Amino acid sequence: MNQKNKISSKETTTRYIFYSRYYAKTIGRIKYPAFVPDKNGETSVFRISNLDDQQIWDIGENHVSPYSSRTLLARGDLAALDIFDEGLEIEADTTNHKLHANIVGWPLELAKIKLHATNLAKKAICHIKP
Amino acid sequence: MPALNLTISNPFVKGSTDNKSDQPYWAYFADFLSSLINKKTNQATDWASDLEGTIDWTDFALETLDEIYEECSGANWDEYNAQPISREKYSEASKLLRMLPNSFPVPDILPEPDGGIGLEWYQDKDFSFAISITGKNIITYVGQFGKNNQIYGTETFTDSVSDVILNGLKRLFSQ
Repeated sequence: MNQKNKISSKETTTRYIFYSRYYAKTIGRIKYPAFVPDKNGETSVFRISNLDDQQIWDIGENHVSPYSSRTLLARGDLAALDIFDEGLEIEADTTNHKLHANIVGWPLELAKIKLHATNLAKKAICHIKP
Repeated sequence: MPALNLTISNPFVKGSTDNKSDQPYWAYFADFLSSLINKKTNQATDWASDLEGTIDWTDFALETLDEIYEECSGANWDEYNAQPISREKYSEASKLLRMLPNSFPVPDILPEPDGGIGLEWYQDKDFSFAISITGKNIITYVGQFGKNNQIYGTETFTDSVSDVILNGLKRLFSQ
């Protein structure tokens, strides 16, 4: 069953990046399209509070990469509070993994979506896959 | 290209350093290094300003756009169910890139999960300007000109780049 629960503002989330143009390795930044939602209005993230760095990469490698034809390259860590500050919400979606969630509540207006994605990207902390 | 015109005083040869005879030798050496660094820095800046606005980056940008179209014309190219970039959006992006003044730096061309094509000019996290080509001759824009100073909106894209876009870019690069 697809459980959808709102999560705490004290949590941290991460967005795994598989596409090389979505981050700048040299200056360590995530670019805004990495947070633009999919056609269902969802941006897939994982809840990573209380996990160490290796555990966070392991989730990406073992639970996301197997479904991907691309290599896991980087991730953008983002405080849940930063997401809520944009007026967006996070819903747990544990269908395939107990720590999976989606950023939801995106506006319909495209310019506003890009504005929120830009703000999330600038607050995200970029980690390059070792 | 300006000629490199360095006056080098050897700090280890007495009599070649004029009125600095009271300084210890290490100070001459420090001055010498400092002058070298300053000359190099100034010269690099001069070259950059000479070239500013004169590099035609259009061909480079169009090549990048072609690469992105090839990478992203199928579904799910980002592994998160991204929509393919359509021929229509590719053509509009190509048209816009040809119309943008080369006096601005070349933008970072970014495919977007909703099938749009973004052009981003990034200076730092609080100073950037991005356009999204969303199809049907509509573009959206987001500009950041410092903390808590953002603009965003939608423009119709026809046969010229709108003043809103040009003014946004001017504003970004006049910071």
